[in-house]
Amino acid sequence: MSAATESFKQRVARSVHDEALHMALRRATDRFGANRIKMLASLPDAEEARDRARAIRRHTIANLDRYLDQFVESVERAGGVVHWAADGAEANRIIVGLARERGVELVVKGKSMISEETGLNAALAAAGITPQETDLAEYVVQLGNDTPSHIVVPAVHLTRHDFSRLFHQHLGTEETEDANRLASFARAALRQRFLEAGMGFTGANFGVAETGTIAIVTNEGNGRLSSSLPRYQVALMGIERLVPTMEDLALMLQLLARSATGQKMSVYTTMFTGPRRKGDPDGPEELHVVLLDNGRTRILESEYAEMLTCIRCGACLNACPVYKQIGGHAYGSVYPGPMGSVLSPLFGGFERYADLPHASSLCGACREVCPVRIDLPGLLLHLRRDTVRAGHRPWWLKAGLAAYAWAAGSPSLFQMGARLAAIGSGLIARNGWIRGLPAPLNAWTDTRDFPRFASKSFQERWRERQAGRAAQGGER
Amino acid sequence: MSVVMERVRAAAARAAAGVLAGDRERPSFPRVTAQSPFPPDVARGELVARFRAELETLLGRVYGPFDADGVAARVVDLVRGAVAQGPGPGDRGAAGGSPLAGGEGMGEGSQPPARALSWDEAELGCPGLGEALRRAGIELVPGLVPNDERHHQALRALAELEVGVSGAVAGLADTGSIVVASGPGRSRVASLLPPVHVAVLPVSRLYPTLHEWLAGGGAAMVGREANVVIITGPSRTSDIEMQLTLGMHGPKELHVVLYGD
Repeated sequence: MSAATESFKQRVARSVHDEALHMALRRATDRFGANRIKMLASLPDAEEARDRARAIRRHTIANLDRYLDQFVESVERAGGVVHWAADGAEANRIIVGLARERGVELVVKGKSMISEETGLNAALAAAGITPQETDLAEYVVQLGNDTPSHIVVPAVHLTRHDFSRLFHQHLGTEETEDANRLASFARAALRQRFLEAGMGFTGANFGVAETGTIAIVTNEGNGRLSSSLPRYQVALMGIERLVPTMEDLALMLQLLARSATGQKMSVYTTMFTGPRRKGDPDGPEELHVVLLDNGRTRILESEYAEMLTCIRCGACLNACPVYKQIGGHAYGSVYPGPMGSVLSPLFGGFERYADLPHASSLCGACREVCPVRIDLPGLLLHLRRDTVRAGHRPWWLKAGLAAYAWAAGSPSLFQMGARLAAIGSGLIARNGWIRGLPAPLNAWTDTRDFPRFASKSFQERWRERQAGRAAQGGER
Repeated sequence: MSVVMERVRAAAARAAAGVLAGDRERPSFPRVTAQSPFPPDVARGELVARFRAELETLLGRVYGPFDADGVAARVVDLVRGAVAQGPGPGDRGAAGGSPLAGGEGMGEGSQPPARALSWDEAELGCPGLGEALRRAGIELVPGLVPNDERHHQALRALAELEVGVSGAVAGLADTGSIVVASGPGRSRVASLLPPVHVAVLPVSRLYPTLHEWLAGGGAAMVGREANVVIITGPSRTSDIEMQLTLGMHGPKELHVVLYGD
C-alpha cells in the first residue's frame, strides 16, 4: 500500500516497529543534535543571536508587503524577472511554460522542498520535460520513486544497500557497500546531466529585500551547479523567505547551518543577484524568480502567522521524540516533524491532516531548539482546537469523550467503572505494566505501555483515610 | 499588481495588528555589530591561524602565507599534481566516450601539457602569478561559456580539466571560508567544475567574520555581482548512512594558498 492511501495510524503502526528505520533516524538526529549544541556554543552568545533572528524574522513577516515590494524591485533592477504564483499548480504552469518556450528538455534541480510542495517534477514530466534531481539524497529518492523523509536529509530512511541497488538498476553500476564509490557513481551520472541541461532550478533559503539576492546553501554543490551552468535559471521561493538586509542574512546563515546539520557554515552559500552580467565569462542569461503563495497569505492573516518565520533548518525534526520514532514518511506530508505538523494542515487543509497536530507529545523540545524560537507546541495546541472546531475530531477522541461523559455523569457509574478498570487491569498487567490490549485499545499499547490502574480508587482511599483518622481521634 | 501581492497587503496589515503586533518596527539591539569570536584589535596572525585551523578541520588545505614567488611555486606544484592525478571519477564521462571536443592535447610530445581552468591572471590577487604559471608550461584556460548553441560544447570541454585556479575576494577567519565572486575575468566554473580547486587568497583580504566582510564592502559586492559564493571546505555529502564523502558535485580538494603577510 502506498504511503498516500494509508491512514496516519497505519503508517505509524508500520514505522514504529521498523528497527532499521529507528537506527537510521537515531544515527542522523543524534549526530545533528550533538553537533548543533557544539556549534552554537562556538558563538559568543547564541541565545542573543537567536533572539535577534527571531525579532528580525517576525519584523519581516509583519511587514511582508513592504519587503516583498522592495525585493521585487531589487530583483528586477538586477535584471531578473519576477513571476507570481497563487498556488502550486500556477507555479508549475509558469515553470513548465518557461521551459517550453525555451525549448528546454532537461531541468537540473538543486535540492528544494518547495518543489516537493508544488509537485513540480510530475508537472514537468507530464509536459515531456525531464526533471533531474541532483542532490544525492533527492536523486536516489527520485530513482526509487520515493518521497523525502526529512527536509534536510531526504534519504535518511535509506541504507547504503538501497543506494547500491537503485544505482545498479538505473545506472548499471556494480553493487557495492562503499559509500565513496556509490557517491562517485552518482557524481558521474549527474555531471553529464548538469552539462546537458537547458534549465537550472533551485529553491531559495533566503531572499534579501535590499539587494534582490537569493541565497541557497548546500554541502554538495548541487545548488551551485544548478544555478551556474544552464542557460536559463529559475528559483522558486515562498513569499515569506525574506530578510531585509545582507547583515540580516549573515545572522541567519550563522544560525541556519548550526541548527540544521551542526556546521558553522554549509560548504556552499551561493548568493545570486540577477542573471549573468555583461562581461561575465559564464552564468545563466536569464533568471526567473517565481514567488509562491500557496496558502502563505492565509497563514499570514491567521493566528498562525508566526509559523511563517520558520527557516526550514530541520532542528525540530531532529529533536522531536515522535519524529525519531516514526520518521518522516509516517506524517504523509511534504513537511514532517513538528514544523510539518503545523504547516501541513495550514497548507493542505484540516481534513487531510487532522491527525498531525496530535502527532506530538507537546514536550517542547522543538521550541527549545528552534533558532527563531517558534512556539511550536503552542501552535500545535491551537491547531488541535481548530481541527476539532472544524469538525475533524479524531474518532477515538470522539468515542472516548462520549463514553467518559456518560460514565462521569453518574457517580455510581464512575465508581463502578473505576473498580472494573482496577480489577481488569490487575488481571492483565505484568509487573505493574500492561503491554498489550485488544482493539481498539491497542492503539495505545502498540506504541507504549500502560500502567495498571491502582487497586483502590481515590474515593476508596479517601474514605479509608477518613475512617482511620476518626479511629485515631481525628487529630493530625 | 498581482493578486498575490494584494492578498499580502491585506494579510500583513492584519498580522501586524494582530499576532505580530509589536513587530512592526525594526528591532534595535544593544549590540548592532554581529558576534565575533575575536577582539576588535585582533592581530592578522591570529586570523591566519584561525582560518587555517577551521579550514583544515573541514579537510581543506592551507599553505603559506608566502611572497609572490612562494605562491607561484606552490600553485605550480598543486596544478601539476592535480593534472598528474587525472580527472576525478565521473569527470571523464560516466558511460564511456563522451563526445569530447578535447583529446587533442593527449599524447603529443613527451610531457603532457598542463592546463588549468583559471580566472584571468589580473584577478588572481598575486602579481606575476600568471606569468610564472606560463613559464612553468601551464596554460590558463578562461571559463568562457557562451550562451548560444556553443553552450553545451563549451561546458563539456571545460569539464575535462583536472584543476581550477581562482583568486578570492575575501577570506573569513572564523569559519575558514573563502569568497569568490563572478565578474569579468572571474568565471564561476573555475572554482566549481574541476575536481581540484586552488585558490589564492591575499592575507589582506582576510576578515574576522562574514559580518565584517559585508560591512567592509562585501554587501555592495553581493548586490553588484551576479554570483557570489562563500566556500567553506571541499564539496561533501553525508547522505549515505551519514558517512562523509568528499567531492560529491563540487571539487573534492580545496587548496588555499595565502599571499602576503
